[in-house]
Amino acid sequence: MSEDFEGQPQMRHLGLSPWLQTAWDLRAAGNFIGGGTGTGLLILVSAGAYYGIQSKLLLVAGLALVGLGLFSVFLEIGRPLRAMNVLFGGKRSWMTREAITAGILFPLGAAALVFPELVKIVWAPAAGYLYCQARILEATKGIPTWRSPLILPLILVTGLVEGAGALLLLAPLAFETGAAPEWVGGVLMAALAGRIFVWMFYRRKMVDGGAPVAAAAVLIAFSGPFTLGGNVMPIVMMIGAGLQPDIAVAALPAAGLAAMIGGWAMKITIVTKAAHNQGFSIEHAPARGSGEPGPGFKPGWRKTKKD
Amino acid sequence: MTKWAMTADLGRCVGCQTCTTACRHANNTPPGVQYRKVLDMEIGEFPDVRRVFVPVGCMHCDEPPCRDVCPTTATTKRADGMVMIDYDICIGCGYCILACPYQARYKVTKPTFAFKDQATANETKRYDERLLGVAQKCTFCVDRVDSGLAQGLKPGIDPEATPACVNACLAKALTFGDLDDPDSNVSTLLNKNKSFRMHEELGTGPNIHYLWETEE
Repeated sequence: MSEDFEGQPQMRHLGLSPWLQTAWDLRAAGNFIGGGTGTGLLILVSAGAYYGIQSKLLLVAGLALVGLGLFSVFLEIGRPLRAMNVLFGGKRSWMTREAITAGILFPLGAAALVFPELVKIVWAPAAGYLYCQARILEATKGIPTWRSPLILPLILVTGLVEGAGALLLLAPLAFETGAAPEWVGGVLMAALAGRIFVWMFYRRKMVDGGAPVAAAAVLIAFSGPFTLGGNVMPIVMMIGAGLQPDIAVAALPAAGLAAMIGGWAMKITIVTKAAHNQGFSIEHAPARGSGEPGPGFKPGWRKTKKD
Repeated sequence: MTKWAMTADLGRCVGCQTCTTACRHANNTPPGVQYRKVLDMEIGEFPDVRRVFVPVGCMHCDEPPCRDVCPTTATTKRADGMVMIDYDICIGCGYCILACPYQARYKVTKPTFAFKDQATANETKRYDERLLGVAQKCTFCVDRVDSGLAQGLKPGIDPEATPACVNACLAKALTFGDLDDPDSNVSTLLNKNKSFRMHEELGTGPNIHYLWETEE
């Protein structure tokens, strides 16, 4: 029936095994991309202010990225005119908390353009916003690859990677010297190491029965290119820039770009490609007539030994 | 207190989908939207193969993840256990659809009818635009239950006060009743038979109980 419902993808049901969710697409992924990169950038800009580093361009870029992310997800909701209702659910919903934090972040960021001292506290709502985004995914019980507790550190550290990457990329435009402060490279290196570490555990957990087979297969296929292109390559570029300072002007922005795109690809993969739902299962097959009950059934999941 | 719940006797269900049809008639759901449906599972390998029919839908969970993620408070849980959606508040963000581990929620963004663009008389009469662009799901036929209670009827016993799927079940596999009443039909069935709940390990506390080993 799928061709009959091309305009209504949410209505599809594809059997017993977990199937790829269709309620959130690239527009939702865009919120995690813009939000993660923007808040990561704002956190670093705010940290830089303590060292006397100021850049209105980076501040505006960070806010714009968060705003673009929110606009992206606004395009996905079914009743856009009611969008402000998103503020009602603060008691339980991390999506509401994200929206409320945005309501603090934007006025504060705008004020910081006029009163530069305020940049020093922009990190707080930015970090809060990033945390809310991680918790939005973790609270999604119907999608095994999202509800893993490891999604929390993965999204947080990826936000830092993306922010540091964006900062290195924009440094030639933002700073008179044409280069970002050295500590930004250190932050990116440490965050990349952290991301590789968390990703390894996350991938392993999902492949070991934490996710449906189809979702695990997507993560397996993605893991190699992501590890090499999005993590190892930027580290190699930064090491190269450290050893050969004359290539740093090109190598550092390139490293930042690779690290940032790696994070974007990871979010697109997790949100739109490895996002298979729980599927259906039974613990026992019933006895019929004079027969005996049978074992349970959990299609689409790897069989794991029970303790 | 009252806590509405359902039991589905897997030994009795024959997969006739009459409950599915009754639900669609009662709720006027568009093509592709099935608040109540029956899964057809084939288990095992030849020659040891079984076929099991499993009715599924909204489980009206004790701790509904759909309610917990809802940013608008459109999804609520009533004191009697029913999980409801306020269609006038929902923004259709789809978050609850993803949070539900039972795939029980739907979002329809444009009118669709059984015969493509041509609505039947029934579809035209009962078309509800409030359902477009928002989340929708099984309500345990809350209108029937509430109206029945107001008339002094007993949900699960009196058909007028009982969900359409339960009324329609040919094999009497589906039963609806008050779990907090130790003498109710569902409590009696659960006391006398072995049961499980789907995805119970997720901590949602689903309120459709599957009977898998009965006394009969």
